Amino acid sequence: MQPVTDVRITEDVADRMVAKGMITAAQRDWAMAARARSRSSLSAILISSGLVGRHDLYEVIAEATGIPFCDLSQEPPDPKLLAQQDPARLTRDGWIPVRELPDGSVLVAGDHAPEPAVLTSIRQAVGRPVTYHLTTDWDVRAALQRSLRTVIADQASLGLWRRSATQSARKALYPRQAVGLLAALAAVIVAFIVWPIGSLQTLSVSVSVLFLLFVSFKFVVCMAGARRERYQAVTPQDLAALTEEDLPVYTVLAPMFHEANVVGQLVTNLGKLDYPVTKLEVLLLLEESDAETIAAANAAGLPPWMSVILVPRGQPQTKPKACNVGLFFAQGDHLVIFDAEDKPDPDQLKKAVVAFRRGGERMVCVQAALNYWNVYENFLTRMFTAEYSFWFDYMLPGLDALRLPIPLGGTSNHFRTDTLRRLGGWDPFNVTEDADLGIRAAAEGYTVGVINSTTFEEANAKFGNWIRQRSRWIKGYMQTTLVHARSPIRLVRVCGVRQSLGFLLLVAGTPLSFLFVLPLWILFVASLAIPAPIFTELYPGWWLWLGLFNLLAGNSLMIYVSMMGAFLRQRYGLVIWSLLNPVYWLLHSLASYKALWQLITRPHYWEKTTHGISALPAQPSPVPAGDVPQPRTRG
Amino acid sequence: MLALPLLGLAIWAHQEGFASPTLQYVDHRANEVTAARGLSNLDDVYPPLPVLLALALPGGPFCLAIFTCLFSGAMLAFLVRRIGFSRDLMVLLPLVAVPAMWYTASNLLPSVVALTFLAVALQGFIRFATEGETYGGFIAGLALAVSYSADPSALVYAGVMCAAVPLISATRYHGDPQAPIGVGAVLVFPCVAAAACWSFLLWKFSGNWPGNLSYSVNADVLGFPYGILGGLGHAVTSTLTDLARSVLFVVALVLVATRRRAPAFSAALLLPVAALALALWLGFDYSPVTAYFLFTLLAITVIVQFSLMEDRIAWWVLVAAVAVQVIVAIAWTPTSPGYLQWWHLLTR
Repeated sequence: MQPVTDVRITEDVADRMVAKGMITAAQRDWAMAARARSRSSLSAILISSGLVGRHDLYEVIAEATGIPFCDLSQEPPDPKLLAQQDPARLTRDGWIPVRELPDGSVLVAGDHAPEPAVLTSIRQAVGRPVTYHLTTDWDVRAALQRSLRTVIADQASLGLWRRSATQSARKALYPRQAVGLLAALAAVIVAFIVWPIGSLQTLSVSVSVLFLLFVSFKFVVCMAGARRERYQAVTPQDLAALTEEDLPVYTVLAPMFHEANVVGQLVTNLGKLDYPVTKLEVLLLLEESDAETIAAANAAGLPPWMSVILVPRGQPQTKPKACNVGLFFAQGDHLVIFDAEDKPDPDQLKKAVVAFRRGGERMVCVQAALNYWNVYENFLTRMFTAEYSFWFDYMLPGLDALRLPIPLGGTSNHFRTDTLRRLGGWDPFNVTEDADLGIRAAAEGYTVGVINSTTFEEANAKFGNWIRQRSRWIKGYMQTTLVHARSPIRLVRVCGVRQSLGFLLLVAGTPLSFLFVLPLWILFVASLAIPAPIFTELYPGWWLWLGLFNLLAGNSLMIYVSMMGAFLRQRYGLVIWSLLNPVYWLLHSLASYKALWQLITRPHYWEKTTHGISALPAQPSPVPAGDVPQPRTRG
Repeated sequence: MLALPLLGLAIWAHQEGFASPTLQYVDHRANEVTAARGLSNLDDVYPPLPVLLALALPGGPFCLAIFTCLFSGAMLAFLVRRIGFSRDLMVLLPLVAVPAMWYTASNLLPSVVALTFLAVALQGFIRFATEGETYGGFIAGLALAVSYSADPSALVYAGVMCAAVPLISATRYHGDPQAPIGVGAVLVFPCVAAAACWSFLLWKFSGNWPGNLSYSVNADVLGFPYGILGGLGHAVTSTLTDLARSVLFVVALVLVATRRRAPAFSAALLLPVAALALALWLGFDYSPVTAYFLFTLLAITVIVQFSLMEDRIAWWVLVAAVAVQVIVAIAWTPTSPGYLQWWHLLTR
C-alpha cells in the first residue's frame, strides 16, 4: 500500500480517528511512534494491528484529504478503460481507471493520496484529464483481479513462454532435440541387431560407469559442504544489528490446492514469523475451483496482513502458475514461497534480508534448508529426512562453496521481486519449477545463495503418495535438463564450463542415476542366479567385474552420503537406517520410470501431493511475542 | 622434488640388483593373476591397491619402487607445507635421517600408503569424536578405507577406534545413546564396505574370500605361529619395544596432555598402540619399521595440529626427543624384510 506521505495529513487522520472514538489517544501515540520507528505507513500500522478496519480508515483519510471515497465493489471498472493500461503498472502504482465522467475526464480510484507528480503521471497514462477518488488497496487489487482475470491468467501461464520460448517447458522437446534422441535410439537399436552381445556389454558398462560418476559427484560436493558445516551465513549478531526501519516490505506467497485441512495450521505458522507485520504481505493463492479451501480460508479469520488471491481457472493448473499470479500482485521488495504445511524458522525472513544485502545485486535468490518434523514415523520418513538433510545441509552448501548452480527447493526460496520478474517468474509448465528457476538464474548470470535457517515440513509417510511426489520431482528434473540443454553453447558461454558441467552432473545426472539403479540391480541378481558358464557368454570376466564394482562402490558412496545427513541436526539414530539407502533408491528407480512415462505422455501433469496425512501430531509451537495493543473490534 | 633422493636410492639399489621382498611378492601375485584364465586368480588381488598397481605398471618391482618414492615424496612435501619452512622442520628428522626410513619410503609400498592414511584417519577421528567435526569423521572413514586397500589391518584400527568412541565422546554428545553408534558407523562403514565389496568380488570370480590371508611376506592372518596366548604376549612385547624406539611419540603424547591440557586427546593417541598390538597378534603385516613409521608420523601430525612448537619449553623438549630418537633408530635399527640386504648393497 502506498504511504500517506504528508505528515500533516497523517497527524490529521490520527486525530480524527481519536475524535471519532475509533482509537484511543494511547493507541494513536503508539501508532505514531511505531511509524517513526519502522518508517511504515500509518495505514499499514493501524490496519495490520487490527486497531481499525480498512474501509473505516480510508473513509477518514478521504475526509482528511478532501478526496472523495469510491467503493469499487459498487462501481466495477470499465473494461475498455482497463484494456488501455498496463496491468502490472496498475498493480504496482495502486490505481485503476473506473469510468468516463460526463465532463470527459476519467474517474480514477487509487489507494493513496497522490502527490502532484503522481497525478501528472496518471493523467499521462490515461491520456485525458482525471478525477481522482480514494479507495482501499484491497479494493484496487480485487477490482484488478476481477476485471483482468483473463489477462492475469494468460500472463501467468504464457508469460515466460512469450518472453523466451526456449526457456519454457511448454514444449518438452524441440525438433532438433527430438531428432537427436531418435537418432541415438535408432543407433542403439541397430547396434543391438548387428552386435547384440557387444552392445549389451557396452551399454551396461557405460551405465555403471555413469552411475558411479554421478554418485561420486554428489559425494564430492557433500564433502565440500561438510567443510563449511560450522559456517553461519547469518549470525545472531547480524540479526541483532537489523532495525525495523531497515527492513524492506516482504511478500509471502502460499499456494494451496485442496488443502482445506491445513489452512489453520498455515495461518498459525506464518503468524510466528519474526517480521514487522506492517511490512509483511501474505498472499494465500487459492485456485478458483477449490471451493473447499476457499471456504476454509474465509472461516480461518485471517489477520489483516493476510489475504486471498484467487488463481483463475485454466491450464496448466500448477503451483508455479499460481505463484506467477501471486507475483503479479506482490508489493514486497523481497518475496518467499511457503507451502501449506510449512513451519519456517521465525527469523528466516530477516536472515534472508541480511544475505541479500551481502550477496550483491546479482544474487537473485537465497534458499533456506528444508527438513521434517515427523522424522521417526516410519521407514519412508526416516529415509526422506536423511535425504533432505544431506541435500540441504551439505549438498547445497557444497554447491555454493564450489560455485556451481543450485537447483532450488520447492519452498523457502527467497527472491528479489524485481529480479524475479525480470527472469520471467516461474515456468508453469515445469513440474519442478523451483529447480528450473535456480538453473535459469545461473544461465542468466545470477547467483543463488544459502542461509542457515530451516523450514520444517511433513515428510511423506505413505508409499503411494511418495511415489507420486517423487515421480513428479524426477520428471521435473528431466524437463529442466531438456529445457536448459537446448542451447548448450549459449549455456557454456554465459555460465562457463564449470557451471555447465555442474548442471549436467546434478540435474541430468540425478534422474539418470535413478533410471540406472534398476538395471544394475537386475544385472547383479542375474549374475548370482544364472549359472556362471552361461552368464560369462553374455558378460566376460572384466565387463561383469566393472559393472558390479561400479554398482557396489556407487551404493556404498550413497549410503555414506546419507549417513552424513544425520549429523548437523544430531539425529544419530538415522545413521544406521542409512544402510537401507539401496532399498530407498530402488523406490526412486520405480518412480523414475513412472516419471519417464509421464514425460512422454503427460509432461505437464502435476501429481498433487496430499499433505496432513501424518499419523503423528504436529509439533507444539511456542507462543509468539508481540507488542501490539489490543485492537478495538470495529469493522 | 623431495622424492628425488629416494628415487636416487631406488635406482641405485636396482642397479645393484636389489628388489625388496615386499615388492617382489606383490609383483608375483600380479603375475599369478595375469597368468590365470579369466579372473579365477582374483583372490590374489588382495589387498587390492598394491596388486592393482603392479598390474597397471610395467617394469615389475622397480616400477613399484619408483611409485613408492613418489608417494613418499608427496607425503613429505605435504608435511613440509604444513609445518612451514622454519626451524620447526627438525621434527621431520626421525623420518628423513634414519636409513631404515629411506628403505621404507622407497620399498615398502603397502606400509607407506596404509600408514599414511591411518595417520590421516586418526587425526580426523579425534576431531570428529571430541569436537564433533563431521568433515573430520568422514575423512577418517574414507582414509581407513584407502588404508584397507593397501593393508587389511586397517580393519583392526577401525574396530579399535569404533570401540573407543563411547569413551572419548561421552561429554561431546551429551549422553545421547545413539551418538556413539552413529559416530562408530561413520568411522567403520567405508572400511567394512570396501572389505565386503571386495570380498564379494573375489568370491564371485575366484570362489575364494576374503582373499589370500598371506597377503604379504610378513602376514599370516589368524595363523597364530606363537599360539594364541603366546602370540598375545609376543605382540604386546613387540609393540612396547617399538614404542620405546618412538621417543618422539611418547613425548608428544605427554606434551599434549600437560601443555595443551587435552588428556582425552592423549588417551586417544594410545589407540594406535593398542591397534598395532592387536593387528600383530592377529597376524597382519607387521615389522618394527612399520611401527616406527606409524608412531613417528602420528607424533608429527599431533605436534603440528596442537602447535606444540610454538611453546618454547615444548620446543626444546621436542628437539631433545628428536635427537634421542634419531640416535636410537640408527643404533638400534628397526628392521623389515630386505632392509639389511639393501643396506649392505648400498654401503659396500
